[in-house]
Amino acid sequence: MRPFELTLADAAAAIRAKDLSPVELTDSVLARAEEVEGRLHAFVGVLAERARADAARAAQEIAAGRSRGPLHGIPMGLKDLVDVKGLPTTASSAVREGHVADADSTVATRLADAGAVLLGKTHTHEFAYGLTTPQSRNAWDTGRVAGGSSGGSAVAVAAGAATFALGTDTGGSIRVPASLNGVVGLKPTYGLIPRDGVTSLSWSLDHVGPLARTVRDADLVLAALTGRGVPYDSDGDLTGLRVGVPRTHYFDRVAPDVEAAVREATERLRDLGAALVDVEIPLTRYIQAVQWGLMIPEATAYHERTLRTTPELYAPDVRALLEAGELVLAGDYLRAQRARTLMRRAWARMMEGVDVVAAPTVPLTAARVDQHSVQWADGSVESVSDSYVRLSSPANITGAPALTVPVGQDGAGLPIGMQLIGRPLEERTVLRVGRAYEETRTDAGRLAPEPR
Amino acid sequence: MPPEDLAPEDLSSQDPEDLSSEDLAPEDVAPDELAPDQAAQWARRAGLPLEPGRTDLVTATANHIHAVVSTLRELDFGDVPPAFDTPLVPVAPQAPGTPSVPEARHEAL
Repeated sequence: MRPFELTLADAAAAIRAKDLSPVELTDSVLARAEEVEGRLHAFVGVLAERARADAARAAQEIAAGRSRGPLHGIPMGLKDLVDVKGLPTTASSAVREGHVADADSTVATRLADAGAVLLGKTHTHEFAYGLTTPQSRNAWDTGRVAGGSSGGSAVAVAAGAATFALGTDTGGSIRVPASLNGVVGLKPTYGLIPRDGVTSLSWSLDHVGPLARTVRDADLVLAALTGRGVPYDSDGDLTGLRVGVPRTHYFDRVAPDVEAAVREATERLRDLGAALVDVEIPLTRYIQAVQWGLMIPEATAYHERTLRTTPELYAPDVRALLEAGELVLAGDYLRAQRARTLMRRAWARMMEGVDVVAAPTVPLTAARVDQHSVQWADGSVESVSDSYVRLSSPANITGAPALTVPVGQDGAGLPIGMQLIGRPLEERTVLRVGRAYEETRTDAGRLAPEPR
Repeated sequence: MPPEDLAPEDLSSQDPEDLSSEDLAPEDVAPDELAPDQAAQWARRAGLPLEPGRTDLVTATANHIHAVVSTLRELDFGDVPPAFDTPLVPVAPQAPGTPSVPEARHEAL
């Protein structure tokens, strides 16, 4: 097995056993990034020289007996919304031309303290305002969208061009591309991971979190990001755990292959000892209204200055949304805030009866790059972007932790994700369930096949 | 006509010429929708004069956003406060003298 093919946990074990040096690992991952980048366009920029220097430093520290833990010497990517002192934070936008971050974000500091090696910054849909990341291509099929907005991070991890990466998630922007590229993505509880130094799309909905090849890997990254240090235990036994299976919303207008794979995965959870419990998702009629009512005016507020000084530098899609956001009434924003309170309360009541909810992450697998809408069996037509955000945004509104785990492929060979949503601050539970599930799969942690 | 949805890529492919004000005669505008001249006035009031050629696209986008967000007007909120004034995890009433919820935890909510 070549070093870039190793999961984070396996690479860390090999480094700990002195079977692999951070320099060898970083060289291998950089070579892989160079090999695939021309097809996948995951990175805004690769920092090869800096990465090799950081890897050499990590190797020296480890050789001197000063190991910083499992992330020490592990090469990773940061979504290009995350500030790293001295580097531009482009947000994949011409608006940020000439930008240089004057300080590290807290997450960059914590990863640096853990000894992780920064390979480069990964592409985002411009300013995270979209679900496709048009600059990048899906790691499984270059004719398909990467998903977004953390598309570059997901593609890099899926292709072995980064051992893990960070993304941000305002309506599904970690989980959507993770699902579409067959990797694991965790949106932690709102506020658990500090967001200072991370460019905002919508302050009240933004989250930062890891994308990785396995749940175990995501847990290792979360441990470093929270300062917890030690990953959660998991013995694969789910006896006594209650898994909510939605009767409403999450299986409506979902591709048959996606539904079948997720239902089969929930049966595996039952085989591991969990009890499956039907749940009714509350207030589904208002999910999109709350998401838009919060996100759109907040995004416009963030961009107030540059929308007036350099509007022509925004991509047309983002500019139109930002300008229209100026016309949302304060009363509508406050209604969205109050409806969010209702939704949080209703979800808290629902979650009294279960420990996690298991559901599809997205209703359909990766769309073709030229596909803009999907027609469902009931005859309704939905934009691809609206479809991708439909099942992920409730966890942004409620602030609950949500994990996506690969559960197979559809008839076209494209990956399918299952979403596990827990109670706020109960990351341990969603990671326990996700890890127990992935241990039943022989293909857990696999890389994407060579792009078609 | 307004776009079918808010999909950014759909909007980006929308030719503003296809959204001319002439297509949006007053009788075509729903009672709670903005006409292009109204949207332009609202934008000016917000401090964002719209460049020529952008009014119709922005109007259509704004009306679509409004159609989605205004469904919240169906709800009777009573005394329900906005979410920024409520904790993510319910905090149980505390006995006198017990320490308050740690600041760090509250920040995490």
